[in-house]
Amino acid sequence: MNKQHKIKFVFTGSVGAGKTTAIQAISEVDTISTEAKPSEKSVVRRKPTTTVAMDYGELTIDGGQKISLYGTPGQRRFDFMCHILTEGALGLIILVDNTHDNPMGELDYFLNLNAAFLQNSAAVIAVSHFDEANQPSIDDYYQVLEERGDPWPVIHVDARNSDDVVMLLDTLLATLEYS
Amino acid sequence: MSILTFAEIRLDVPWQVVDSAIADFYLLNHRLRALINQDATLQSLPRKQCIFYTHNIIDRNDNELIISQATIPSLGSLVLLFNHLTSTKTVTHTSASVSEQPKSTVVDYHPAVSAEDSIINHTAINLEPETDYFDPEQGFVGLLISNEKGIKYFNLNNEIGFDKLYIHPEEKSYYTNNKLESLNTFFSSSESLSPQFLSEVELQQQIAAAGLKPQPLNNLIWYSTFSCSQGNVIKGHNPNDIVRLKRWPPINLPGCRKLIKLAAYMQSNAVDLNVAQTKTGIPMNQIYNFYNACKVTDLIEHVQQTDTYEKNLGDEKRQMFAKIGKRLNQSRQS
Repeated sequence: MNKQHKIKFVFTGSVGAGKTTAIQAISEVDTISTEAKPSEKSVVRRKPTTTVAMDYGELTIDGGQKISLYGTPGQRRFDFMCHILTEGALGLIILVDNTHDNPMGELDYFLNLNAAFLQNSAAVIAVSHFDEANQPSIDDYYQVLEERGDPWPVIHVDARNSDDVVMLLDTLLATLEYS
Repeated sequence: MSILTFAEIRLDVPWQVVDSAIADFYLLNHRLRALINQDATLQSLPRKQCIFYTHNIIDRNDNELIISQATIPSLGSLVLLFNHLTSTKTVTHTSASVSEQPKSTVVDYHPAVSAEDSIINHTAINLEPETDYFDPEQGFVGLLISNEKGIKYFNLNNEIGFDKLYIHPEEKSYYTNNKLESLNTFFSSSESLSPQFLSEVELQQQIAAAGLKPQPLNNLIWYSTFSCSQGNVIKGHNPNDIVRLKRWPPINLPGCRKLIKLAAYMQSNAVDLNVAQTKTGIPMNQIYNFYNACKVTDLIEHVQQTDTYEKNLGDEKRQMFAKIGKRLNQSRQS
């Protein structure tokens, strides 16, 4: 396969933020997920199972080309997968669970983890579970981004809603095209 | 031709596109400008009655009327341009009817000219109508952005029945069971704009009973401004103002989703709104709605000089993005 023509978007972010759900919401094929019992304590209390290698879904564009949708594992010990999966990707969607103990810390962590990739690419910050916790606010997220000098859009989403996930990709595409 | 047909109802006098040597206005490919002093036919054309079309609007001279070929036309701009031309050219316009003499002509030096052109005026003349402005200090938006303190609520008598919209300015929150788009009629209604006041305790009791959760007041201000603007630019805006977005607007609000690329463009480029229209192809009335909403919510930064960031993607990547965009659009519609 010609690597140049691979179209890839990556969903990353904290455990339970909705990466697997988001890919399932829009993939036109049955998604491939690698779920297992979590090993990290902080994850055990949040979810009974979690992604350990990756999630995979697909969309097809005109001409039969595939858009690959990858989800990274949320547990810290699998961070290396993030670097593998983002290689050659067009852009990154960082999902942050707003009910997390420290959502700002999570945002900071995933931006740092992907700093090298984001030097030449784009990201969208998707804040999930906003209906359960409306603090921190979207303004708070922008403040963190402004302090870091990052220009990425912040959107609160319901990862179960395909319209919301499409909007994330639309925004990422516009960022790649115009920003 | 088709865009002219759409525009006709709002034109002061009827226009007709003809293919004849004598006309009131002439549509020319910009490349002919270089030959205008050498070619006798071109030389005979009055410059003030020439409209040039081009893919590159940067390549222009002062006091020229330019049509950008790069994007879909803006009907509002087309109407403004044609009515402006009519008012400045006093030849045969006062009692014109469709059957009378044509007012313009296409000199078909370049038959590939698209009717789907957006209009940009680069003359020093302000084409904005002086009256059709959006005034944010009036109506519902005016009540939202006023400095008046205290928790208030509005009674909503909409199609779903009796309901309330609570505003808590100090908390920068609002509460309602309604989706924003269902409040459009309320925003523009002058009858329902009499707020009632209540205490913090009363608010807490009522929102607890109704199971309401706080939502960002800025989103309500953004959306109501967007909805109430009706395609008119905000009062006090100068068409030559160079602006950029300080940060992304709430693009998940209804209506804003269609304007994601405008948000992306205006976040990275400091330009006037006409340039934003040309670069994104979004109709001017929608740009005004968007701009007003961003302006009222303090998301607009005014700068002294144009600062553009041209992204050189290349044809292959651009085509790929177009295909991805098309696929995402299909997902949205399915």
